Amino acid sequence: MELAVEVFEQGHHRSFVVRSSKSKFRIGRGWNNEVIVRDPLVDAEHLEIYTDESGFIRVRDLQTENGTRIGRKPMPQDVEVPFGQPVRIGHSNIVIHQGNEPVPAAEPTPQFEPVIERMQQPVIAIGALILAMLVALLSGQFSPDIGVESDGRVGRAMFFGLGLIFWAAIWGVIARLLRHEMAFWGHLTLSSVICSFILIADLLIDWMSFNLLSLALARYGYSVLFAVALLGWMFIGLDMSTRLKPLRRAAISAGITGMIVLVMFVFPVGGRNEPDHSLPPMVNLTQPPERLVAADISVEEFLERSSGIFDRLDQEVVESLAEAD
Amino acid sequence: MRDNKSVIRTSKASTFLLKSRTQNMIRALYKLNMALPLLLLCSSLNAQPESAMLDIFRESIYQIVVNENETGNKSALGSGFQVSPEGLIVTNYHVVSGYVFEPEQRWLQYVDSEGRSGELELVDFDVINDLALLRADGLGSDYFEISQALYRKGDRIFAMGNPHDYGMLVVDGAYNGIAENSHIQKILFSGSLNSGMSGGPAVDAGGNIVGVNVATAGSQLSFLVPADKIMALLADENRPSSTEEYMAHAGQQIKNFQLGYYEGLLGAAWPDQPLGEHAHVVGELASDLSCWGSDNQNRPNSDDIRILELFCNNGNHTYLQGRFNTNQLHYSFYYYQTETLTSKQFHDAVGEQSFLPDNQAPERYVTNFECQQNYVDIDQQEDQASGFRQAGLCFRAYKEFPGLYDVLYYLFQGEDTRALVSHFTLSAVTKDIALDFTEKFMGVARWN
Repeated sequence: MELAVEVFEQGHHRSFVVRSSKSKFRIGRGWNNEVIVRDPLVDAEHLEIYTDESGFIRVRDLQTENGTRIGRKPMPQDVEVPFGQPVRIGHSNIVIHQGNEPVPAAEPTPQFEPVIERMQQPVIAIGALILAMLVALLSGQFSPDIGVESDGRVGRAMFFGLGLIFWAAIWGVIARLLRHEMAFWGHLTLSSVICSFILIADLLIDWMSFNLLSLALARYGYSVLFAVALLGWMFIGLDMSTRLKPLRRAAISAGITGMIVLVMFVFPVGGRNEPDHSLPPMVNLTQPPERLVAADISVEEFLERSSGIFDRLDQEVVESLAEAD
Repeated sequence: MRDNKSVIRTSKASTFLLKSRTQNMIRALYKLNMALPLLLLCSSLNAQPESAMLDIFRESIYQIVVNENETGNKSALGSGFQVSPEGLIVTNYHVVSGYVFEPEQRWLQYVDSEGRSGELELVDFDVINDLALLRADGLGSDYFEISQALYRKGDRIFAMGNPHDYGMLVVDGAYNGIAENSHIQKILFSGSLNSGMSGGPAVDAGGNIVGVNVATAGSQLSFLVPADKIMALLADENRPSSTEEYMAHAGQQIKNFQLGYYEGLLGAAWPDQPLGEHAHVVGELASDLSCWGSDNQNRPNSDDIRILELFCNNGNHTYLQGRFNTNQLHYSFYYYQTETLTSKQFHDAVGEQSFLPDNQAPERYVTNFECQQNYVDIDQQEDQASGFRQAGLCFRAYKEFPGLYDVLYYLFQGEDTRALVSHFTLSAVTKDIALDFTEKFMGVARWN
């Protein structure tokens, strides 16, 4: 009996149909399969489709890491599948049709994970973006400087929104390259929601006068936001390695996230640094958080330490005069 | 640079000035004529025929030109006047400052009323009072007498100069006593000096020197260096013997002046005054300091943070060269309070302040600032766990004047929704003055 296997390859959001008259054929990522699915979550040899003695179509999972699902339920190792029933492997779907039937879908109708499918809707993404901008505007995270009027705040919130769109676009491209099903709109929803949560959490913490996150924000600027956002991605989005057990995968993504966070904290973006001893003639007041790492000294000791500067300056003058000669 | 600009400006406006200058001159000479008969009656001394006095004026006033060796261009222009038969000429230090700083690249020249010119030698200078003493050979024997008389406010005096080729310029006005806003003595003169008249003489009706034209202070108000400063300069025994000693000479003068000034300041008891509800700050330290205050409460769009400000400085200002000046003292206080912002928003807003030194000094004359920043226990109170007191003290050294430094200080102290920022800058002080002043300042300005 001829079968037609329709494949919805989610990374590319397209479908194609493979027809075969073999009684048994394999689906997987590898080249030696009859049906090749380019999806990192699909195993090299993932699924076997065959016709049993009674003429029913059965699907057998080849003991894969990520398993196979029918609908939302994980599939037992070997199961009978009716025609037209989507079988999910990795982020892709396959649907088995009878070979002599015309295959109905000309346009792909991707069937994502329900949550991701909802996040992919432009209306929801734009809603989330507006929400994030409103939260940014109202939380005063883009704080009212002395003399900055309310227009300035609106402008900053708009700029924040643009940043989110840019961020989502970058991840959209990365998702494309990795053939991940979550595209631009999904990432826009995700980043907006995560940033809203962070801003609201910051506001709550601020109101409670407990300043650990606000301390980090004040000191390291928005690299903190991005670090936390990245952490979210690592767990929500990019479950890439199919050969590892879920626990190990989580450990590795946590490790990578930790490295990124560390790099961001060492090279803070838009944050404040330790006081520099060779300041230009402009002195910026640093923030109260420094108090955590520096103990108070007495006035006498402060003057004593300051007077040490004179010797260094005198030395510098001697050197500069020697250079001039 | 500054002088070049003013030269350009005057030459652009020259057609207009030519008319008004001639008119001014005629008017001034007319007034002089009116005043002279009175004077001749009152004083039998110095009685000279009117025309002879004007001749002395004309012939004893010179144009002082600073020329560049390489390009041959003028780099500065001013007036000067002869004070002895041996050819000693007095002018402003700021006219010849370019030569003092770079004697090997420039030379000094005089031009007299007849257009004769010759080379000048720098004998001595006084950077504090802005005077320079020059000498030339082959000058005429006419010279100005320096007045020892005491003047009263309102006495008529005449400022003269020879800025360009229009001949002598006379501006009349009144003696208005010694200006009170500065420790550096200056006569207030109610007449408007012209830029090229710097270094020219200001004389009384008898033709005796009252002072030296030095600066304008707005329309119809100018400053003169008092005549006794010329006497002091003529009597100076520590004249620089070679061009290499100019910098040391200037440095010593600044140091002596500052030692005297700060001895008085540090010896006195400092007044403290409240600022806002929780701060005590330093009030007017001395009569030459002036303070201003402001409160943003009455301005629109300022409801988030209330800012009370007190700002004090002294009038000491010593021009050294180009964009290099010194001797200023300035301190200010900012008291911040908010009813509407959260603690974090408040600190974000007030923590973005920055401070600059008051005096300008190009990189070639001073080092960069070096700072010490710490949390300082001002009141030795243990219970101020929620407060913070961050202090910063920065110094930079003068490369040409060893032992002199600029000082920049700030202290940021406060609580959740209140803060006080104290700040001062000192220019050209010794190590001891810097540390003593800081200690005393930290003792008076406090939070409670």
